[in-house]
Amino acid sequence: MMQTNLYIDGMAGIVSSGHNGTLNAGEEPDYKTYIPDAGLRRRMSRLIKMGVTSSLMAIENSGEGVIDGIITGTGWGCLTDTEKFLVSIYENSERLLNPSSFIQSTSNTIGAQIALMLDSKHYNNTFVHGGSSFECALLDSSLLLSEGKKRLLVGGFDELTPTKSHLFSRMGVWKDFCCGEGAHFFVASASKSKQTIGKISAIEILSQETHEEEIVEKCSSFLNENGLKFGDLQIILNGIDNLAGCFENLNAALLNFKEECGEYPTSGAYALFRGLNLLSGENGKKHILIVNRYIADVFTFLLIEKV
Amino acid sequence: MVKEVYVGGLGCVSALGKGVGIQLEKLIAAESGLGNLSLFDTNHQVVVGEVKHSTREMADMLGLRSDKGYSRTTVLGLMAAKEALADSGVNPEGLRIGLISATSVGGMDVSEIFFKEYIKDKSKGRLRQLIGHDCGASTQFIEKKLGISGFATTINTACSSANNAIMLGTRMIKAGLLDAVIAGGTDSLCRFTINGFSSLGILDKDVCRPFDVSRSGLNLGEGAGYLFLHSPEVKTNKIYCSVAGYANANDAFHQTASSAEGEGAYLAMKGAIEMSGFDRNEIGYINVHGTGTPNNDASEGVAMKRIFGDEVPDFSSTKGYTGHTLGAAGGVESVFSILSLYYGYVWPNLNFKNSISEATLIPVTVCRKKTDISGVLTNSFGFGGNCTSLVFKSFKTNKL
Repeated sequence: MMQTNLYIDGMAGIVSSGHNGTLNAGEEPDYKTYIPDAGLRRRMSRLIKMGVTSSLMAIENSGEGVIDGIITGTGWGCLTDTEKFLVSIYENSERLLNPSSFIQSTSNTIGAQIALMLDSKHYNNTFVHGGSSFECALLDSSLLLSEGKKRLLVGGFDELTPTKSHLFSRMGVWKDFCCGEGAHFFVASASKSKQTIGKISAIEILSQETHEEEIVEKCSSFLNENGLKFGDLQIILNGIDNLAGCFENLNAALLNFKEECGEYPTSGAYALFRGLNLLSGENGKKHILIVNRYIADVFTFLLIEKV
Repeated sequence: MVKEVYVGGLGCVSALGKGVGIQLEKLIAAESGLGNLSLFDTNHQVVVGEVKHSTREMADMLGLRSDKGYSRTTVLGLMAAKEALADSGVNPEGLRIGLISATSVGGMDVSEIFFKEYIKDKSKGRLRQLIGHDCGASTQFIEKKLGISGFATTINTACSSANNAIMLGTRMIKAGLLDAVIAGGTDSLCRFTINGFSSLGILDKDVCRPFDVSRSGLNLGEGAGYLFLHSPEVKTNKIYCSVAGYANANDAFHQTASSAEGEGAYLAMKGAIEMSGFDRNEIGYINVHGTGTPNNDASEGVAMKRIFGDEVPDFSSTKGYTGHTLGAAGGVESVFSILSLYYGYVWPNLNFKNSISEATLIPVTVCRKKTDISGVLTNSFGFGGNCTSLVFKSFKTNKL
C-alpha cells in the first residue's frame, strides 16, 4: 500500500460505452480541434488521436500552470501500428516498408507526441505492465510530486483492434468479459487548489500470488490502513465480475463499472474518471474505493477522496 | 527516507556471452560480439550482436520446461536477472524486493511466428504463442521464477527504457517503498526491429562505427542487463557503487530524430551530474549512447561539448561490442559502466578512426587501466525524444 498525494485538477477521457467494444459514432470528439495539423492527424492511429486529444482536453479544464512531467500507462500499446507493420513485413517480403507504422508502434509514442505538442522537455515515462500499467503511472506520479514536481499529466489508454478482438474471441476471452477500450488523462498536483476535483489518497497493487477469495479481506485491511471501513465509503467501484456478489453485502453502494466501459488493461483510468465525477461527500462519506483486475492479471485498489 | 542506494549485484547476457565475467573479459580484450544473423531468415544484409545460444538452449540452462515457447526476451531477461540476484548473495525471504524491467519488443519474436500463419488464415496460428506478447508478460514470468513479490512493473520508453527502470528502482528504495530492486532491461532480436530500423535506413551493412566520421548506422543487438539495487540496510556480498545521479528529460523535437543541439541529451546528462554532486571534471568515464547513426552521434556529441566544453572526459560507445540492444541497452551499458568504475578500466570505442564534423571528439580507442575513477556517466536515448542519464559513484577504496 502506498499513501499518495495526487490532487486531480483536471481530467478528460474518450471511452467506449455499451457492449460492442470499440467507440461508437459520437463518442469521439472532433480531433481537428485538438490536432489541427491535418497531415499529423492522418498519420496518427486512432489510439494516438484518442490519447493525445484526451490529454489536451484534461489540460484545458485544469486551470493554469506548466506541466512538468508526462507519465502514461498502456497494457496493449499501439496495436494498430504494430499489426500494420508486422503484416507489411510478410506481405511485402521485407522489401520497401513504410517506416511510419514502425515509428508509431512503440508504446511511448503517445507520451512522446504529447511532449512534442506541448514542447515539454520534462520527465517522460511509459509503463507497459498489463493490467497495472495505469496504476504504476500513478505511483510514479506520486513519487515525482513528493520529489518536488508541481503539475503532472498522467494517463492510461488502450485500443481494441479487430485483430485483438478476433484473437480474444478465439481464446474465449469474450465468453467471460465484455470488450472495451478507452483513453483517460488527469492533471495531478501536490496540493489542493480551487481547481481540485478530488484526491487519490492510496494505491495498492497486489502481488501475482494473491487469490480472488482474499480480495474482500485485502480491501478491508487496505481501508483500515487508511483509517476507514466499508461503511465509510460513498460507493465501491468494482471491476471484477466474480466479486460483485461479495461486495453487495458490505454495507456500501456498488457500481460494477465495466458494465459501462468494458474490459481493457487500463480500465482503472476510466474508473478513476468515473469515481472523481461521482465524489459528492454527502452524508459525510468522502471516500470511494476502486477495485480492479484485468482478466487474470494482478488486483489493484485505488482510494479516492473528496477534499 | 533512504539517502543512498547501492548496487550490490550485476547480471548480464549479450553478444559477448553469458554472465558478467565474460563481459569483463571481452571488454578488456577489445573483442567484439558482432557477426552475421543466424537466429532467423531475413532478406536484409545485416550485422548483429546475437547471443550465441538458441532460446531453447537457454531455457534448458535455466531449467525451464523446454516445450513451452518462451519468448527470447523472457529467457534472456531471466538469465541476467537471476545472475544479479545470485551475485548479491541476498536471500529474498522477508525482504521487499521489486523487479523493474524494461523491454521494447516483449514477446515479438514468438508473435511473429504466430502472425505468419494468422495472416494467411485467420483460424490458424497457435494461440499459446501470444501469451508472452505483451511487454509485462516477461516481467511477470521473471518475477515468479525469482520468487520475489514486492512489486513489479515494466517500462517501455524505447531505447532509454532500462535507464528509466534503474532510475525508478532507485527512487522507490529512496522513498522507503522497497528494500531492494532488480532493475534493468531485456530485448531480443526479431524481424520486427530488423525491418523497422531497416525501413528507417539506419542499419549499417558493415560493423557500426560510433562517433566516427564514416558512421552510417547502427547494428542491432540483443541481451539483458540488470542491477541489484538496495538500501544500506540490506547486506550484499559486495557493494559495486552507489546510484548517485539520474535524470530523465525529453528532447521534444521529433518522434525519431534528435535535435541538432541535443537538448534532451544535454538536460539528461546535466541533471544526472548535478544530482550526483560531482564536478563535471570528476566524471572519469562516459558510456555514451553512441548508436553509430549520423544523427544520434552528432546530437549527443554536441550535447557533450555543451556540458564539458573542451574537457570531455574519457568516453566510448560499447555498441561496437554488443550492437544496440534497444530496451536492454541501459541495463547492459550500466553493467559495463559499473565494471569500468569497479575494476578501473575505460572501454574502447571499437571501429573509430576519425572524428565527426559536428563536434571534434575522440573517444577512447584502446582498453586502458584507469584506477582512480570516482564517477561514471551512462546515457540512453530513445525514440520519442526520451533521454535518461545515470551517474554511478565509486563505493569501495579497495579495488581488485
